[in-house]
Amino acid sequence: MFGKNKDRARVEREFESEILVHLDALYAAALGLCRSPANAEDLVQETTLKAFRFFHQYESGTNGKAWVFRILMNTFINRYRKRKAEGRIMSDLDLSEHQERLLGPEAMRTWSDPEVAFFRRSIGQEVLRALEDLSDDYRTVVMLADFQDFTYREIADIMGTPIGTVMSRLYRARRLLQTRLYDYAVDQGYVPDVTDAEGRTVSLEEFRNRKESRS
Amino acid sequence: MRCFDAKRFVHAYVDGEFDAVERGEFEGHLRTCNACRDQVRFEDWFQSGVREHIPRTLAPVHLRDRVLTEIQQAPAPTPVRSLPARLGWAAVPAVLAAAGLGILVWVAAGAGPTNDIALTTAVDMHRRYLPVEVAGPDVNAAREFFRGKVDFAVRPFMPAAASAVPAQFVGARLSHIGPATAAHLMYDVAGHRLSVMAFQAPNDQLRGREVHTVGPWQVHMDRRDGYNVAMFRDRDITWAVTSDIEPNQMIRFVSAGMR
Repeated sequence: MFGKNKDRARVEREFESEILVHLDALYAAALGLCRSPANAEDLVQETTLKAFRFFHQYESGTNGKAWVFRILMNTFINRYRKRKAEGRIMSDLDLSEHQERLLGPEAMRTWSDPEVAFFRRSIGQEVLRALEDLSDDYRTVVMLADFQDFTYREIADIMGTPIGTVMSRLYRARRLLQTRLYDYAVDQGYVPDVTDAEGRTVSLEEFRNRKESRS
Repeated sequence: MRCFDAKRFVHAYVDGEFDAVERGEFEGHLRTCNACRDQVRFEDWFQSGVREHIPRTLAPVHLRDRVLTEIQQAPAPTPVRSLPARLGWAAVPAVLAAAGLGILVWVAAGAGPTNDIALTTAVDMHRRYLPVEVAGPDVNAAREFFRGKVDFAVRPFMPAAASAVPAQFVGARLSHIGPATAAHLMYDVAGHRLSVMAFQAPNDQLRGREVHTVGPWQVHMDRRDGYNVAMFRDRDITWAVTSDIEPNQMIRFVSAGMR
């Protein structure tokens, strides 16, 4: 009886230090997947319970975060993913429209010019909003790569897809995010639209002049 | 490295996925190519900016409490059944929970080849579009067909209609692997051809590149000529599943079919 309690206490401690230590990350990912705090909490709870039940299959000291994220993904797919996508999903069509304009070398240099100050506090919220409009797969791969710092190999294991699929999804998802953030930044006046109405490329000089004349 | 090649890998480079050699090669290209250098700078700037400005999410306190309480009241973790001996390499087991079965994956670096004749023949038979001798979709017809032609009872795979792997039984034919007669069953899995071969091989020693535990079976995965092959033993019968679908899907097919 006494021995059993000690073992149980040890298992719980191990579980807390190797798996529950990732609770914040799990919740953040669950929120991104479910888009509702209530569902996210249920998903996290179901995931941690399942992880505990299968804890003997986890080899202590190896990649606990990837292991429990794999369980999170499976649980999400089996129970929480909606059959029909709601709202507007950014598709690859959006990508091809913008790609020409946006991602040429001139445009890229304009974006990242320090005077343009593209990244501001409000961008963070817009990124989250943009994420919600991505498909489940695109949203997942960006979250895992950019917010959770998993390697491509780990993402492939978590999502159950080949590494090549991870790479192409990540590439497309990031491009979609970039086009969306670009539109937002133009809207807010943070960056010049790199093409004006006649389709001519606008220079940074003109943008600065315009800004000054406005203020 | 040509520019076309480099463009495909800008993200991988910025994400730190390259090893030292690949990095050196890529950076060699960057030194001579403005376009790619701009691309790398842009991606690096963008990724860093996004990461820096994303609001940090913390799990709410009540969720943390709820989780801890539930863990303390949960039954003890399920003990693992027959674990195969680990073969002594630096492996990272990843758990795939599929339909309640715990599936463990070890990636074997430097394990020997599987039963090579079986592997080669399975792939050979699969890729040849041989005519069926008994047609589907009824698997029982196939079972009847093989009675008396092979020395073992052929239990044809048939994943349930609603399973994760949509498979249709196309037909079967009598075949052979080396000197042993074999049952060759053919399936269509979402437009991809898939072959299952079964033959008697009491002394088979399977050694695949990867080993997956599916229920009571050790499934050895290998790759030959662009096809994925999954082999496992059930009593004294060896099963070989050959297809160009992804290994994960093949594992699911095996799991769904062998119930």
